Amino acid sequence: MIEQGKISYKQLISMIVMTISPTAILYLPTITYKEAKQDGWISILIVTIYAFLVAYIIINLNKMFEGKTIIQYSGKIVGKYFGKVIGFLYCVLYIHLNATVIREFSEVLAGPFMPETPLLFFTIGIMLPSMYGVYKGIEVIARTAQIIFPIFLGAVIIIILLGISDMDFSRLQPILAEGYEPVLKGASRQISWFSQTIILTIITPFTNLPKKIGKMTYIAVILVSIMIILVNISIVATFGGEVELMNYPFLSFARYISAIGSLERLDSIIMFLWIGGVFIKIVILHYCGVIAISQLFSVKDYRIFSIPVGIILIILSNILWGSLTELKESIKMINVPYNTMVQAGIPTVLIIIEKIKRRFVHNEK
Amino acid sequence: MNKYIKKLIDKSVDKSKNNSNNNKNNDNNDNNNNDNDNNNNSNNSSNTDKKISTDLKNNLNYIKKQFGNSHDIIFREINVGSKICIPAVVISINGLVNQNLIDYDLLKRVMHIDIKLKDDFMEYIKKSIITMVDINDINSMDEVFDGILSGESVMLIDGYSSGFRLDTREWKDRGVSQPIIGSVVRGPREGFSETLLTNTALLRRRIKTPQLIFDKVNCGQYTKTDIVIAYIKGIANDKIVKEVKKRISKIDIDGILDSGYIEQLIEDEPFSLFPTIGNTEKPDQAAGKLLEGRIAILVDGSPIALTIPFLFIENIQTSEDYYTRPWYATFTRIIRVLSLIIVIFLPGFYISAQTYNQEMLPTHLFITMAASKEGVPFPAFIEILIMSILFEVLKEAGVRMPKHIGEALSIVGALVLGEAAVGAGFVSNPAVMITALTGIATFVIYSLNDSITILRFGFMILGAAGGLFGMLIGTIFLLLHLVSIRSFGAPYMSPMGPRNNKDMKDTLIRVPLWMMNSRSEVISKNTKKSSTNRFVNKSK
Amino acid sequence: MRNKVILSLCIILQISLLCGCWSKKELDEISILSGIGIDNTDDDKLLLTMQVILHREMKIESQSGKRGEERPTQNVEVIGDSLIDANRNFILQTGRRGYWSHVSVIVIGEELAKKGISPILDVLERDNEIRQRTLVLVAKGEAKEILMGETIDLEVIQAYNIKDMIRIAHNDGKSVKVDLRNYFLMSSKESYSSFIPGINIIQTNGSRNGNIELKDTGIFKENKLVGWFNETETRGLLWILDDIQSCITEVNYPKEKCNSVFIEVLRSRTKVEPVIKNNTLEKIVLNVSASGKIAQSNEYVDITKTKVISEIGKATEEVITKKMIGTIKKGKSLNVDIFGFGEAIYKKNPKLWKEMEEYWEDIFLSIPVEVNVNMEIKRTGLISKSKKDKGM
Repeated sequence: MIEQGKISYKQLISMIVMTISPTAILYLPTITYKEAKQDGWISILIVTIYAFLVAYIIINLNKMFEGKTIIQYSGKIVGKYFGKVIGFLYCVLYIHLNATVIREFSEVLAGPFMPETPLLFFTIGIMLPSMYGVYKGIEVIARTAQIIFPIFLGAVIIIILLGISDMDFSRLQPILAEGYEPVLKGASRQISWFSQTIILTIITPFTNLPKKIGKMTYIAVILVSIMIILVNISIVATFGGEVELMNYPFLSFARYISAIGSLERLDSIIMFLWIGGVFIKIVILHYCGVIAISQLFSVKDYRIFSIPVGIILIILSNILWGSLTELKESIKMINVPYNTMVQAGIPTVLIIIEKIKRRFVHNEK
Repeated sequence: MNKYIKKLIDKSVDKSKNNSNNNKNNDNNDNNNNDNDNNNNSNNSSNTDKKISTDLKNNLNYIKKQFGNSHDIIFREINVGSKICIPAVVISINGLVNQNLIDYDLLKRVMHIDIKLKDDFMEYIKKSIITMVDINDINSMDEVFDGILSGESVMLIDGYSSGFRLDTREWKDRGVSQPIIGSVVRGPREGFSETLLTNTALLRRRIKTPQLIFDKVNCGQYTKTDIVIAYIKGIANDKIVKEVKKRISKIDIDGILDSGYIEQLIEDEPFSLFPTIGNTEKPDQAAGKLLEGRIAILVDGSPIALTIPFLFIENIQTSEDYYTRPWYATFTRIIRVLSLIIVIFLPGFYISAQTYNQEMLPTHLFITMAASKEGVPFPAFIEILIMSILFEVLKEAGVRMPKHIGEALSIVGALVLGEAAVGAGFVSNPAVMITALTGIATFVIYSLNDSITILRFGFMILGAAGGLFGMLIGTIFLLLHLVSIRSFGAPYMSPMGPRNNKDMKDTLIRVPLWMMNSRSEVISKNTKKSSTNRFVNKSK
Repeated sequence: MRNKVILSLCIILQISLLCGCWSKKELDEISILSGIGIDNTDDDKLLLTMQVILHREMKIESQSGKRGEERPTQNVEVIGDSLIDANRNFILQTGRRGYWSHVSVIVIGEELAKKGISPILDVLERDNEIRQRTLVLVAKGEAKEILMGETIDLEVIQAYNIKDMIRIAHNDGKSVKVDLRNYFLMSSKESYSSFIPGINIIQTNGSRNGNIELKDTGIFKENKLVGWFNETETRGLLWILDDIQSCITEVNYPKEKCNSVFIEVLRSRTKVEPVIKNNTLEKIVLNVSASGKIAQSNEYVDITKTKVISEIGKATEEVITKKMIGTIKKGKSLNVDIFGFGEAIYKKNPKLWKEMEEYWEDIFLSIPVEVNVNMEIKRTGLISKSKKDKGM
């Protein structure tokens, strides 16, 4: 069945925010601290600018081809053969990225909470609803995102507020102690997250107000950025130098808060609210992957791919990486370059080529 | 149309086709025999549309044969006109008619008055002699039977191929009494009764506009139940009305005994746990929903009206919310949502807190729970499972048992389950407390009663198998499912699913009445209500 | 189609009933620990004293209302090569696994503290059952004995009693409060020095194992115990760290009559300001601003006069200054910068700190520290003047 759903712009905002933020909240503070120390929040500000650029490029590229996804129109820009190659790259991107996310997610759950449980349990557990969601279509995914988004946001804000009494903002000083270099280095680590607005390339045709997409995306990017900065500041303020050592700073933060004397031990509940957010990310990436594959092979009914892709994801997320350390290393070595290239590089190249082509045609006329 | 509906309907079509084929054959044979034997002047006698013959004796024989020897059918043979004495017969069913009405307004008039023979005799009798209010002409045998069986009296006059149908219906009825579900503290206490006309009258009393339309259809092959589709033209969505009518017309079933049958045969999602058609037993609630643009279906013989479309948020709204002031209404809504969450999640939460996630509990609570679990042989899941099942058994017994035994048994139930089980070491105190709380909270929202009981068991299993993670996966599944259901085209979780801020005025909070000035878009196209949008006590 | 549905239902049912749920911790397999004591043994192993909550005792208590004969806690002593090893050996003696999530207090024995607690710290930070809010204490003596000490009747679980003691003592300015997070923060900084409150056993008549009492503060350098701060120095430390919430200070006033006035400090704020001129560190200035009220006065003080109040304020300032300087001296003598001076310099001028970092130890010993206290007495309680004592 051809996807007939339409999502509204508010749903779009929640979908974009929920795609970028959950894993960013969990891992970014450590990654930025390693380079930029307590100036992590400045590097996030810098990355936001980069995210705006990428979003701008993607939106304008989409505007040139209304109603089509990147798999469909990349062929028009660079020719059929290269178009297929690009389409293939995107399929690989979505699936690989999703497998990474699922693996990260299972590690977070397994490590602190249920260490004896094999990872397969968590992987299958989160992929079953994802397959169901993809089968039902984008509208269902968008509505679920709309319902989960305020809960997720509320959970993050509540934790931050509850933990204020333990924060010592002087730990954020001195500002720019080492100069701009570490900050920029820290920023460079985060670019792969912030260019995940790439999902727009697949979802844009399904929105019902194509004109507003630009504004909505920028709002979403700002929201994400604010959320991550707040989380970063609160974690650094609470834990100071220890952040470098922690694997999951947000979890440790949620564990630590104790307000009003008895409002302790919220970590399980908060973490499971966070899982709702990660689920949305997984299901959106799953959906993008399924649509990408079905368009690559020119199959009209994308739904038959939902279960096979789901199974592929389960298998990949379990066998590609052996341990948490391997996962982290691979993220640094493989994910960041590849993702950046496909998420930011390819759209840039495509838009340049297209603009040149159009000007050419225009000039000829 | 939804393929599940199609299947169900096809199945029932097949079933009843087989049954009815035999009957139809018999009928056809009888018709043919009658016609061939006795008929002189009768018109064309097709098998399914037998006309009334002008020979009274033919008609009488035919009718008597159809009814067999049922003793409650009265054939009153009279002579019309005191002087002309044309034979006629009045047929009615004892128990369904108001005999006084027949006596004084029909028989006395027709028998004692000197009626002159005229050309349009039937018209003359109808318009000048018979003094009953509701009288119709009938031309076919089907209408004769319909009339007799619905409690009207049928009068056939010798020599004329049409007859009269007179509304003399009256039977013993429960009357308009307080409904059993949906009792309120403030608000009208009338409830629908089992008679269709009473119910429609109750609705008419409340909505006095000619745009309130009652469309009647007939359903059920043997029961031929009257079903009324009520809607306010101009507010209700025409597409939905058409769809409802279409679906009802496709129903082919032996009998409709209760509105529940209709509900199950036309609903959008027959396999989902959640109802997509609303029930109400109170006319003011039904009237309120009609004013919002919904459609009500009243079924003869059932005091429960169906409302279409039905959204999830309506489970949390009761009619009393609108009659009280907004603060308390909002408060009770929040309590209802809270009890919903308690019912579904609390047992599973308790199980996972005890088994997997002990770090969730505050220390002293944990020690107390561990202490009370000492000596209990079962793990937490089995405990809660046993207690829940026992509670369901008690509940079911309480509903079915005769009133007199009820009170003694409830004491036994409380004693046995509560005290002795704990004392004997079967279950621990927290398990009893949680089951009791959950059980009571189930009744806060009656319309979801069945769904949340099943869900509760499902979440218990998930909590035992996967701790909080398992429960979370279950919640996500539930959410995905709820969001994907549509009730006759309206998304089930609207206004939260597809977020519609204008409609959020009446969900968890209930804004004051003077602020609610639009109808929901998913239900009705006519979204502007005529209401003042500020309260009127400020005089200028 | 129907068969497929039935088959999948059967599979799902089986999976859920199998419940080979790996991470299941049934309540009758675990024992709840409330306090841990870590000691050294002669052959370099760790002796763990684990205080187990006997919840059955507590159930009997709560149900019958009487106090059981025994205390509802029991101490189990386990030996192991490391913390993890000893934890696992716990099962050999009790048949249940220890559950650390509700531990409120970790007591480290004096000898072990002197040897160094770094190996323990790694486990404490890495393990996911141990919560970072657990309080840490160092015992003057053996941790084993502390956990056997008597507790007040109102809080039957001894380790929770200790936690309450520390919490309230910290509120009243009598002791520092260090939980695991604080400790990790302290010991990961540039100066690698930290402190932990101390706890002692005093023998009294009428109790079997002695009563516990909070006493002194243990000072650690590079995770080894190097010295103790006594009560006055602890108070000074709290002043320097801006960790006073309320405390009672005895002030000698009027000096001639050798009488005292007791001031209750209600609010205080301390700021550490390094004074840097010409790219060198001149001195470190501590600015304290506090306000309080008079808790106990004597007959020679006429509180109704403003002059008297300000004199009392000044006298208080002197007392506080003296305490703080005493603390800093002791800190210098032990050569530990637990006051956060290095940090303050880093925050103010990171470049300078980079140059100074290697020599900080020597610089710290010789840097002049100036203390400025500004004390305001705002209130005097319910009465103004004190009554005269006739029998003087």
